[in-house]
Amino acid sequence: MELNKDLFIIPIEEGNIIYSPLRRGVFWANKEATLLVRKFLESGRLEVSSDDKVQQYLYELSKVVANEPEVKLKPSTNSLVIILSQICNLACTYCYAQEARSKEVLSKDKLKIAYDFVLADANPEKYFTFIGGGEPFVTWDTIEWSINYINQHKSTSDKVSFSITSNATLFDDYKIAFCKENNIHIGVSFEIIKNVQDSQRPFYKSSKSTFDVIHNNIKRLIDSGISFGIRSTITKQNVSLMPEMVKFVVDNYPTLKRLHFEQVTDSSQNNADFYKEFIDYFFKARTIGKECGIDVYNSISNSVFRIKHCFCGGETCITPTGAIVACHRISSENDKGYNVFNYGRITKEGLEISDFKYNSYLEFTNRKKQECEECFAFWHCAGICPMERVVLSDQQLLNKCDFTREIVKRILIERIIQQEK
Amino acid sequence: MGANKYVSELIFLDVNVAVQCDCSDPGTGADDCKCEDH
Repeated sequence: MELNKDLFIIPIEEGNIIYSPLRRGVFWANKEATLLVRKFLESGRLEVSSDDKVQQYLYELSKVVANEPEVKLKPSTNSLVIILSQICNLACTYCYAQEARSKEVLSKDKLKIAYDFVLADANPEKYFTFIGGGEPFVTWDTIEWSINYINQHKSTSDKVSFSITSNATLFDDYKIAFCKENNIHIGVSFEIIKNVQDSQRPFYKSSKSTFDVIHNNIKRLIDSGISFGIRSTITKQNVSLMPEMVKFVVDNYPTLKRLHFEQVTDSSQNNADFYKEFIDYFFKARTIGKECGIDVYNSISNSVFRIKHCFCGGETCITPTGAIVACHRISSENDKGYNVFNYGRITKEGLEISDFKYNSYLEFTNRKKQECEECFAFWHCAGICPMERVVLSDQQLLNKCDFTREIVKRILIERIIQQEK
Repeated sequence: MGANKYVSELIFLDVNVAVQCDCSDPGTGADDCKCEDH
């Protein structure tokens, strides 16, 4: 792609950010310097031997090869996302699996078929992620059996990574030791501030504080030296508390160096005011985090450091019924959009993947709005999370676009300022 | 950046060209997304 098609002028309070996403180049320019960039965009002509810094930068950028990301054409065969059940001991207010509740647990026969499929893949790097649906530790016996099965059947050259996303209420010494021994990463979903945690993530059948249980369990994870992370869901209730949450982590969980604050996907909350507030407090939290050695991030700030063709090429996610879906958030026939995200099932013969349905999903996820082509965040956002496209209204999606652009812009500013220090 | 400056330095960002989505935690390869608010 030619440079003038890969160069954006992004206005900020003073001057402009000049950004070439595919060449990964960025600089700040004042008004005068920006005029030269505009001139180049209009004419496409470079002044090769100029003393002017802008001309030099543009020339330098023009020499960089603009690599477009690969287009994903097939489901992952070395990475499996596993929803063992939809059973949960919590009743989170914003849970995406509320419509999916059932008591079914994925059978070991089906699991064996799915694990054998991934273990047969030529890529030695293999990923197994246990996630909800239901709380994975509710079905601990099946997790333990799964890890043992995979370890027994992997080849010597395989590099297997395990992770479990958990609400961290059901740990005990044995389970923690097992996870440590098998190098399992634990992703803890936790709101950090007691009253928010207890209100947004209460027990299903008890008024006991979930915060007290999880706070204690996180300390056990730290003592055990296990690899873990915390991901907090940010809603209207805790959006202004992000800086406080970072301080709490600094004071209480000193080994934690990364903190994930993700905005809730909820059609009743995702309006422009919420996104604006999120950005204000997220960057305050990020600044405090930086001072204390903690990287505060979310899916959009992460995305600045990756370029991609579509936001998500789809997971190979198996559900409790043995269906294969592209997103673990849309894992039951009760979920809106299930027909778009479901593209196969586990049969006695193996994983039956419908090319037609997978391609239909890809067609959906690759679909972009006309405005996307002119957007400097195109290669980061890549058309927004397909699940959000199902859940949010058109207006909310436009709000999400503004939100995405603002975060990308602020991360670019951060990098320029960091370089200047 | 600032009143007296013409341009900042040109910098190049470190980046992965990915087929994965940003749901994945780059540190662990684990799904640590958007997605896990459960």
